[in-house]
Amino acid sequence: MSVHGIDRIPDSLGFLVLTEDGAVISSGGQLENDETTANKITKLVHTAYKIQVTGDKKDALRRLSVILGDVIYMATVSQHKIYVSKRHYNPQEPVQA
Amino acid sequence: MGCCFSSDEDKDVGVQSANERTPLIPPPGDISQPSHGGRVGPNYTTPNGKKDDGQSEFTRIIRQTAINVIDVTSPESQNIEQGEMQDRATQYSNRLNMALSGKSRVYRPNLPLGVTSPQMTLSAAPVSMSDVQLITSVSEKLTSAAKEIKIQHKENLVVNFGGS
Repeated sequence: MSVHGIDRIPDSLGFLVLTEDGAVISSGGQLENDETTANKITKLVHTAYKIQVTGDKKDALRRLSVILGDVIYMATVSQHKIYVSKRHYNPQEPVQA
Repeated sequence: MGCCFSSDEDKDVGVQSANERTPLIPPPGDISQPSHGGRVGPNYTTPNGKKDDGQSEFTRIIRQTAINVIDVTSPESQNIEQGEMQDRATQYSNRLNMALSGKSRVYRPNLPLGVTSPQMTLSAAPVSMSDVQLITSVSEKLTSAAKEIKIQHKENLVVNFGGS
């Protein structure tokens, strides 16, 4: 079962590989068999794809980020599969006043 | 039940006299009939006549069935005009949509192909703090703006028609 190296992402706390309808194909780390998160992310991704990013509809969502405190969930879609990564969130830029 | 009873009654009275109540197909209890009356003459003609009646009735039933049957393979049905065909197609698809919309069936479109390398996308630096702040401040402004929306009552929504 290919996870496309998604388990080797820096700062990763866990990962999920889902089908289009949210079934878990592969999982690891803190997200191992986390179907609750899988369902929530799947709904978010499906909703986000309905939002028009540019006027000409050519560009669609590339990466969905959910920031919760010092944790960031990042999701992307490739080959009709949803890839989710849970990472530490340490912002690179200083906070602007 | 009433029908059955009346035909039984006919049999009791005597089957040989052919009238409008005589059953077309002789009842099974009629085997004793030939030994009943004067042998040759009428007994030969009566069964023949009954047979003819049965035959004509049979033909009638077949004809009636043939009229009632809808032959789907008949070439006649393929001669529908183009316009009528279109009309029917629209009508059927409308009905289908109506039937489908009644159900609480959630249609979820398939996701597009997406990015080519998910690990690259997910490994990239997370969204910058300034972007997060921009999104947060804009959504806060929009929320407060939405709360500010008020309805100003100016005139009655219902007015007298034709009133001056």
